[in-house]
Amino acid sequence: MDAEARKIYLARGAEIDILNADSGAVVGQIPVGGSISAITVVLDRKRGFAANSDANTISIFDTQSGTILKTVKLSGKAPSDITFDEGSKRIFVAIRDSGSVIAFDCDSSEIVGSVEFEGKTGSLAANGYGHLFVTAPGTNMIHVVDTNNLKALGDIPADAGKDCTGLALDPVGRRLFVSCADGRIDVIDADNGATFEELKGGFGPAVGLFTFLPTGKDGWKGAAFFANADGTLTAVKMNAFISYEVGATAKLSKGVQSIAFDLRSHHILVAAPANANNWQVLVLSQ
Amino acid sequence: MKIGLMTLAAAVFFAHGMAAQMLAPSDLHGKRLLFVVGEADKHHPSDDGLVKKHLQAMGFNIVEAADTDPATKAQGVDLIVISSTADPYALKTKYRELPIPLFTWNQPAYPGLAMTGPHLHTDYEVVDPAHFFARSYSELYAFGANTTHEIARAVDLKNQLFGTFYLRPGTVGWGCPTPAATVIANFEGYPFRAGLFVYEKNAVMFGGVSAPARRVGFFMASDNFHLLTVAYGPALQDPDLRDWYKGLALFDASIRWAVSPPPAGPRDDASALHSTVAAAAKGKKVMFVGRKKTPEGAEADQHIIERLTELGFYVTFRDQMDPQAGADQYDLIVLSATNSKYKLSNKYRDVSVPVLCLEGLLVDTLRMAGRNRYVDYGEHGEEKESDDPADNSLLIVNPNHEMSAGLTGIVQFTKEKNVLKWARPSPGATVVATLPNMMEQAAIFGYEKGATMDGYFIAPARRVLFPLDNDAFDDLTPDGLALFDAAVLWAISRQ
Repeated sequence: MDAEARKIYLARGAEIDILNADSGAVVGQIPVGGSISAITVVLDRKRGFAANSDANTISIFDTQSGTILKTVKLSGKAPSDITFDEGSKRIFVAIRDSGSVIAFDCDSSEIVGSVEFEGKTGSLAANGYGHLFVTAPGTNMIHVVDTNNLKALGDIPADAGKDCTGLALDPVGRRLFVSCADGRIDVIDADNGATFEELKGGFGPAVGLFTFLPTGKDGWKGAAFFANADGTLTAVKMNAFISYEVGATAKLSKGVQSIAFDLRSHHILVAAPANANNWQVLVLSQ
Repeated sequence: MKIGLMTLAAAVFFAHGMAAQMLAPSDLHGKRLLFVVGEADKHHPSDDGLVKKHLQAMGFNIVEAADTDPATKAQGVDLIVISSTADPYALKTKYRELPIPLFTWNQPAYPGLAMTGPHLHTDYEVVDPAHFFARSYSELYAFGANTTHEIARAVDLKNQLFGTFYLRPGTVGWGCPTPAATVIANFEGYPFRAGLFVYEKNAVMFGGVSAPARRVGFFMASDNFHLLTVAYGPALQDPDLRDWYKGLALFDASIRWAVSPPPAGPRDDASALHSTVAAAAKGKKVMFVGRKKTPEGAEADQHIIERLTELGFYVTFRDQMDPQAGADQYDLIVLSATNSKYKLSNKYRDVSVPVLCLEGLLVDTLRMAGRNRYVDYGEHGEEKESDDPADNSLLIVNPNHEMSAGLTGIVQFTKEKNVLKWARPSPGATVVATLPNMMEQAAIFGYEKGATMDGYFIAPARRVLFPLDNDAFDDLTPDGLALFDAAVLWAISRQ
């Protein structure tokens, strides 16, 4: 999502559709090839990064022109998530089946290193001041990586949940929100790893995000959103930095793949399958 | 030769009682635990279920009991755990006498268990945020008051603040146990506002009740087990953060200590004790510091020196005015009651060898107690200086400790009633004997090496108070003499 440019980047098979965030009209396409599993855009660099889980590549594109600048072949299998870390100016890619995380320099687009784990790697979130959090699907663990030195710093367990896949991070309150396939959402202090709140969410693998809602409407100081594979959208309401509750839930179609937040309209955008051949972007307001 | 020495050392250790080891975590597997809980309250959900799950994960086989169930339900279990959801009025005193280790965070139940006195806010307190909002925040931090107890060692507790619960105001409780207890963590700057405290088996609890087995009081409440502090991830790699997040580790270690077998305790056998001390003393050097040409007590000093020499020590006499240089070369420093506190100054406070202090008035210079006379230390029977009458007896409050010489209850210490000095050591000490009917006045107590003494002073080596007024040594009863031998033995034993 590029809220300023009013663009939505929607992965649709081998292509990225660029949609107008206000009208929903398709305004462009980027042919990437293969099967795109994740996209992130770095607004001030005007660059986008797309992971291709079939070809095991990362495609770097120009957000202005929509042209592919470079495609990098990865050594691991099934890149599954991408995130940008503002502090280290690095792009991190989770290579799911290889259980690793690869770091790219945002400017040169060169791989600068990787971190290996046992098992698989899932969702990513970076705090911008040194730590990258990585879910380990099939477990209740979140790996912590030093974004500068690319070293594993230890694991944080989600106390209540099992098979944790969805991840959202509030870098200011230093809170991790972890959605687990067994229907739990744990709120964790990202500094010491302590789970201090356990909430109920949807079931199955999840995608998530955190955002502050500056309007604070109805007491929402911030929120973490999770869309689970069973079609449940859960909004975790932040009352204070030590107080969270489930503020709302919605039932969407099953198989949600991606979630984004429009900072300008305060809309949640969810990519969900409309039918066997088509995807839809659901726009949800507060 | 090396093997021979080790064998001898082990023999000495076993002959006089042995500090039992805490069970390893793996040893908890299959232990039976009675978990006493109250009725579920849907308006106040508790963490009892989480605690049960955690205890099961530690290896315990859990038997649940309602607070109204009879105590016979505890038959055959290895540990009783009482939740604060249990109603203290339903519990009454039914678990008080059971010779089964007990662990509880039910502070209102402390009086019924004889773990504290009965008065709310004085003997125990439950600090909940509804009534004490600011205080409940301040109790998110506790102080590591005793760092040498097995529980403290198990978690590497430091004499500093640590975080008890995750950062949100919750209910926290404390108790004020008798001096026979060990206070491991305390709250709000009050040394005996004990968040975590333990009684060793046979320790004297409130009302003179002898602990029938180990007893542990813990600071949490019914709904905040899940908030006990713990560090994961990068925080676990940082030693300062590891030292801060100790809540859950203390819970686990306290449970493990409670269910571990207590030390056998020394036997009441003065002759065997004397032989043990003699074996331990062989070849060791004692510096005896007293006052040359003392107007009183010279004969008693001489007899103490003879006693030590007869035990096998090489004794060197030093005058109170002699510099302490070279003191660290000795195995034990004995400070006579003939010393003038004014002349002795702060000497021997910092020596890295054990000190056996026979003069109760020196406790503040040695940092064994505070500086407030008649509050932190004082005496019975001193003409012009004490309102309390002379005495000749002591109450043994920790019979399982090596310094008890295997004695129990009230023992006659000296033949005649005379001056008897006392002090109130910090929680870092272990109190072995107090004045009868004045349990807060400790007569015989010791600090382990590394223990936190008064004013956060760290004991450079063992420190023992054994109050012998100028000529009292010559007046010791056989029990008094056994206590003296036991104090000497503990002071020089391995640290």
